[in-house]
This record gives sequence, C-alpha cells and structure tokens, in this order.
Amino acid sequence: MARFRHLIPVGLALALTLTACAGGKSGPGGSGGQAADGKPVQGGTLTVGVATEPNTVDVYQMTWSGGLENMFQSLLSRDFDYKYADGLAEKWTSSPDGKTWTFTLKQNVKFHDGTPFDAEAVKRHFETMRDKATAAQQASEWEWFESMTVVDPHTIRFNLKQPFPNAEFRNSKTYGAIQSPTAYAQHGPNGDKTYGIDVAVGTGPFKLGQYVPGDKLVMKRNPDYAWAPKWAANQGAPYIDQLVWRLIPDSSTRLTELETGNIQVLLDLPVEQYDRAKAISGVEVAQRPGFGLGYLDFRKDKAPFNNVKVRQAVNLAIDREAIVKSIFFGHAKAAYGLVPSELSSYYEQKDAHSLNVAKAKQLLQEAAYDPNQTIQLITRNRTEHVRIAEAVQPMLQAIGMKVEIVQYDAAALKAKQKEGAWQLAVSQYSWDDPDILGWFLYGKNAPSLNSSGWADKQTDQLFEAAESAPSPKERDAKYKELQQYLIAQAVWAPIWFPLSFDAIRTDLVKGYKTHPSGPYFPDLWLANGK
Amino acid sequence: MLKYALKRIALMLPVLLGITLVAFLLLHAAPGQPIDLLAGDRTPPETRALLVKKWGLDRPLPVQYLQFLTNLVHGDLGRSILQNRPVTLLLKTALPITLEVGLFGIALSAVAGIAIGVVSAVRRDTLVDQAALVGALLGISMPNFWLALILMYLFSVRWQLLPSSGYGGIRHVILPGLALAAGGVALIARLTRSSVLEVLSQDYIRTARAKGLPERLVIYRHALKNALMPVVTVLGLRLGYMIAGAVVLEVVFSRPGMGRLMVNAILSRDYPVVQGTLVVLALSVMLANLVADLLYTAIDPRIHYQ
Repeated sequence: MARFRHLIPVGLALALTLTACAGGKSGPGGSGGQAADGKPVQGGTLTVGVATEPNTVDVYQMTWSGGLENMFQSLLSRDFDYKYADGLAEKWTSSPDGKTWTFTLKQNVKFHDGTPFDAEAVKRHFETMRDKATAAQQASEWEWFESMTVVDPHTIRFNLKQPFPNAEFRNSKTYGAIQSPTAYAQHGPNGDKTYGIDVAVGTGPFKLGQYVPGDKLVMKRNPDYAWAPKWAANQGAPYIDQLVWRLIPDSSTRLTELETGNIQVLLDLPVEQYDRAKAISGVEVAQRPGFGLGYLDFRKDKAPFNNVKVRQAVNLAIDREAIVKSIFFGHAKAAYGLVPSELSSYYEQKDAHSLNVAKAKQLLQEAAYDPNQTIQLITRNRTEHVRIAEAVQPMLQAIGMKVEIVQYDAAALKAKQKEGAWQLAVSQYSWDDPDILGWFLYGKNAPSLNSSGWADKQTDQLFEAAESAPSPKERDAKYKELQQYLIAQAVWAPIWFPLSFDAIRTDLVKGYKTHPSGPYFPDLWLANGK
Repeated sequence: MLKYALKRIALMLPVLLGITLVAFLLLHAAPGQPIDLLAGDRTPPETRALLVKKWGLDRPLPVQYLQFLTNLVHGDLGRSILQNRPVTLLLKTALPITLEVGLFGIALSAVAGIAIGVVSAVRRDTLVDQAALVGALLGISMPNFWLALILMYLFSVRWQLLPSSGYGGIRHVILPGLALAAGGVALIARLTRSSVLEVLSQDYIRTARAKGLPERLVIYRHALKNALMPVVTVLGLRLGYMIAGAVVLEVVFSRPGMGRLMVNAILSRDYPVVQGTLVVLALSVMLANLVADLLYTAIDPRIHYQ
C-alpha cells in the first residue's frame, strides 16, 4: 500500500502538481499500539476532516492526492521507516548497468471493476499516462524509461536509455498509481462518464463511493482486498465499511468537529491549534516529518540579487530559531539546508545560514548595495507566509535592506512570477526527494518551474549527473555535491522545515500507529464498530 | 400591477448585462489564468496550449463575452474549468444550501425583529425596552463568524444539541441561520421600534384611541401596518447582506453553498463559475427587491404601480 502525502502548492514556484510522499521515523506523540486496543471490530464509518480536497480522483489529472492512496496503489510503498516496500509489486530489481528495472507483480490482484491486475494492465496504464492525448499532469515524471516489456503476466520490465536511480521513488508515489485501463477506456475522456468524479477505478483497500467536490469524498471498503503491503498490521480488507473525507475549510470548525466526535481523525492540524487539540480528552496529536522547506527565493538574474554577496547577506540576516519559536510555536525546525533533513541525501551548512549581522552588513558593503532602494518581498496571502514576511522585514532592515511586503492570491502570484515582476519571495515546497532542486534550478525547467532566473552550467551538470547516477547511493553523493554548490551560491535563503501533525480521537478509533504519511486507514477500526 | 411586475422584470435584463460585463472585465483584468492553476508547472507547453484552446481562452475577449451571452440565452452557463462539470449542475447543488440558511435568516430577522421592535415601542423606556436596546447593540456589533464559533461551542460542544457543521436537514440550518440573522434581528427591531413610535404619535392613532378601540387593535391594525413600510424596504435590501454573510458563514460551517463556490471560483479564476454564480445571486437580489416593492401594495392599498 503506497502511503503518500499530498503536495502542497504554496509559495512562489508552486503548485508543483505532484504528490509529495511522506516518510521518516515515527515522531513523538503518536504511539497508540495495537496490542493495547484489543481485538479489531468490523464495521462503521470513519470520518476524516481535511482542509484540502483533490481536484479530481483521476490519477492522470490530479494535482493533489491527499487520501487517494487509500483507493489507488502504486507498484511500491513506503514502510514505517520510510523504506521502499512492496506495493502492487512484491519484488523489484535493477540490472547492474542500471538500464532496466524489473518488477514482479503480486498475483490474484483485481481492480475495483473486477478486471485482473497484471503486467499488461501496468503497461497500458503507463502508455495512457505518456500519451499526449491524455494530457496527464504528471506525464513528464514518466519519461525516464524508453519502453516496457511484458515478460510474463506477472513481470514487467522498464527499459531505459541511461540509468535512472530514482525509479523506486517514482513508483512509490500516488501519481504513479495504477488505474484500470479497461475502466479508463470505457469511462474516460471519450467515455460515458466523468472519470475522476463519477467513476475512478484502482486496486486499493477502498473504492470510490461518491465524490461531491467541495463537500466530501466517500470511499467504500473493498471486500476483495487481500494484497496489503507486508508492513501493514491488517493483511485483509479494511475493518471499517466506509471512509469519508470531509472538506472543512475553517480550521476552528475542523477542531470543533473533532471535539464533538463528528470527525474522528483530523489531518494537518495547524501548529497554532496544537495545544488546543492536545487538551481535548481522547485526542492524541501525532507528529510526522513535514518533508518540505520554507524559504526566501531570489530573482537571481536581476539586481540586486544577481550578486551572490547580497544573497549571502540575506541568509546571514535571518534569525531562523526566532522565527520557528514565534511563528510556529516551536513546531517546526530551523532550516540550514535546502532539502528536507530526513532525506538520506541531506546536506547542511550551519554557518552559511546562521545569524551574523556584522558579516551580512559587510557583505552588502562589498557588493556596493544601495541602501536607498526598496525591495519588494512578495508573498501569497496565506497567514503563515504573511507572518514570515513580517518577521523577515525587520531582520533585513537591521542589515540595511529596506523591504516592502506585497501580498497576492495564488493565481496572481503565479502570474507575477511568470512575468518576472518580483525580487524576493516567500516560498515553500512539499516534496521528499532532492530532485526538487532540479525542478526549481535546472536550466531546462526555465521559465515555468525555474522562474527565479537561475541559468547556471555547473548546476545543470551536477543535477544531470545525480539523476543518471548508476545507483541510489551515488545519486545521494552527487546531490550532496549539488547542495554544497548551491549553498555556496546562496540560491535560496532556507528558513524552516515544517512538521506535520494529525489529531486522532484514540478513544473512538483503535489500531492507530504513526506512519510517516499519517494514519494507515485499513489498519484502523472503530471502538464501537459504528 | 402585473404589467408593473413585468416591466420591472424586463428592466432586470440590462442590469444583469451590466453586472456580467463588469464582472467579466474585472476578472480578466486580474492577474492569473485558470489554466495556470489547472495545469501543472511541468505540463508541457503544447498541452497547456491545448487546454487554453479547449476552454476558448485564446479567443478575443469580446468574442468570449458574446459566447457567454449566447449560451446564457440558451440556459447554458458553460462548464467549470477547474472541475470540468456543467456550471448549472454546480449551481443546482449549491443554491439550495445557501437559500435554506438565507431564507431562515430573513424569516427570523423579520419575525423576531418586528416582534421585539413592537414590544420595545409599546413598552417604551421600560426594562424590556432597555434590554432590547442592549441586545440589539450586541447583535449589530458581533461579527457573524465570531458569533458562529460561540454558537458552535455552546450548542454543539457544550450542550451537544445541534451539529456544528455540514448540511442536510433543518438541524443544520439553525446555527448558521442564527449567526446570519443576529444583525438583521437587531436592525429590524430598532427600525420597527422607531417607526412604530413615530406612527403612534400621529393624529389617526389618537382618533382610533379616542373612539375607544382596544389598544391591541390600535397597535396591530392601525399602527403596525404603516410602521412596516420602511421595515419591508430594509428586509428587501437585507437579502444582499445575507448573501455576503453566507460567504463567510459557509466557510465556518463548512457548507458547500453559493458563497464558497463563488469565492473559490474567483481565487482559481474559474470564469464560467464566477459568471454563473453572479447571474444567480444578482437575479435573487433583484427579485427580492421586486417582491419588497410589490409587498408595499399589499400593506398599503394607497400605493398603486402602473
């Protein structure tokens, strides 16, 4: 079972339109323990309160997959330790030269529509994904292989032109989940129904019941489900009959609904509600890695931020610990690197990102920075980012940089960024792989993704070397090299690593155990069975 | 009267045209495009161009607007760019959710407001009147989203009497209805009070009392009818406020109604949905004003429309 966390399109270069995967070690706060909860009870409806809904439940078109890992499965999953584990495939290997990836599929797996899941289905699925006519959102994520071979009904081989060490990652994401090709052909764009709203067919532990955009997504138990990943406590069909995802946009209302028991699980609790949620009797707050980064981005091809010294000065002007304490109430981590600290490729350099006003001032002087100019700091008009902007403003003032804050809504911010009409921006990404650096900084991704004017040969070379490294280990090493280089170039001013929190009514919901990507619903049951 | 109503309805057309045109221009003047939010950053330019073409966003603005009008005449409001579903379908689900709270709120404002107003006027300067004054002050001053949270805390968390959010059935209407009506009740109560007091000081009331009519009849048959005229006007205008309030309350109470539909559509630049919700909301405000005007004739037989 693939466990993913959605991707949060925020900040400047956002709407990454991919599903970020969460992982890592279980954080404090989420213990639970199935043994203490007694014997599982069958039946009932579990309701989850969420702040964001998927735009569609069609794998090809989704830009947000929160919760959909319960309906769809990918070839691989992530276990409790964030390691790659079995999904729809039970075994997988890469050839010594790294040019083929072979996946052995689980047997007797069926799609929700009853059609068999086999190598042919996988092939057809990825062909549709790559077909231009599908206009799949994530199509470019599947360009790493040249062709697919159906070795036998339960073995599929991906043939590559050059090594791609990240095939496991791509195949563990919800955006790589396998949909029923039969159902898509029948109900898809040229079919008889609105695929992704009225119908969507995967292999997961739950199937689509009803989707009412703006309101709720109802999933029904898949009684045939017998192909759970090995790490799951429940190897069979889910205990609960129905899993309802209720969209509750207002965070206070969401918490009230948890208190009244109308929802039993609340995902992505805002940090300012941490204490309030903990105080509710029966509620346990579980911490997960946030797998993301909040940072200041620079327009790097225009003065004054085309000067590396000015960018370094900004990095030395920000008191990260103070921001974490005052804005996140300590429920975040100060960032001294560019990729999430839980990743094996993580590299950090504290001195480049620590408060040093004297040195920052000196750097500005060396750069002949004109203190009379006013820098425009743009931010999306969401509370957290505006607060960051307001906290950063006086810090930059202290080194002699005048800053004016300008707020935009998401659509306007994107337009401004496309026009290049900005200098400094509060940005945030949610992603759990270092290839995010390439997204935003690789020359070929300009100007849509790489919108900060960074065209740099060495960055491109290091990124390409990492992405085609013969093994994951060598890939990590190359990425560390890239990070070291990018930190020296001060391409961003990293500020905080977010943490994710879920609130669970452990008096009503049993069998809960913290997984890096949040509750694993097939393992849960309701205390009273309804 | 029928002729008048028809004339008024005919007049709505240019107003509607003006509203949609202004909205259309404003939306297109705002930075950002729906395709930017629909397509991922990694969506290849060809696919993006395909999407722009598919939604007709590459055509000149006047052509796009004319297309919208032509479709409108045929009762077709287009398809949501973000959800790829007919706008009429979205409206059909969202409108009842907003209407039930709006109508409940208006009804409550009218009934409670008029009752409190009359009592305060009749018992002028008594403890009851003072209490009503304080209540009205509170009702007007409390922001509705704040009141909503307080109501939710009391009725859902503390006493567990009513559901705190969602929709479906009268139980879900009461809390948002109360939060929405609080300001209206206060306003109508104060208005009714002063209006009744004014009427009560007039000669024909003195005459009615002089000829020995019971006080009840004086108030309800003679005074109230005349006093209600300004109240009806305000109630008609109030519908606009109800919709504005609904936008906030629909977020707080998690009701997928018109307000939320429109705000989300504006934020994602989903032009057809914005236009569709605007048409419906503008129509309902205009209709409410028409109803208010027609009600005058029912209350005051001296008023004739031609």
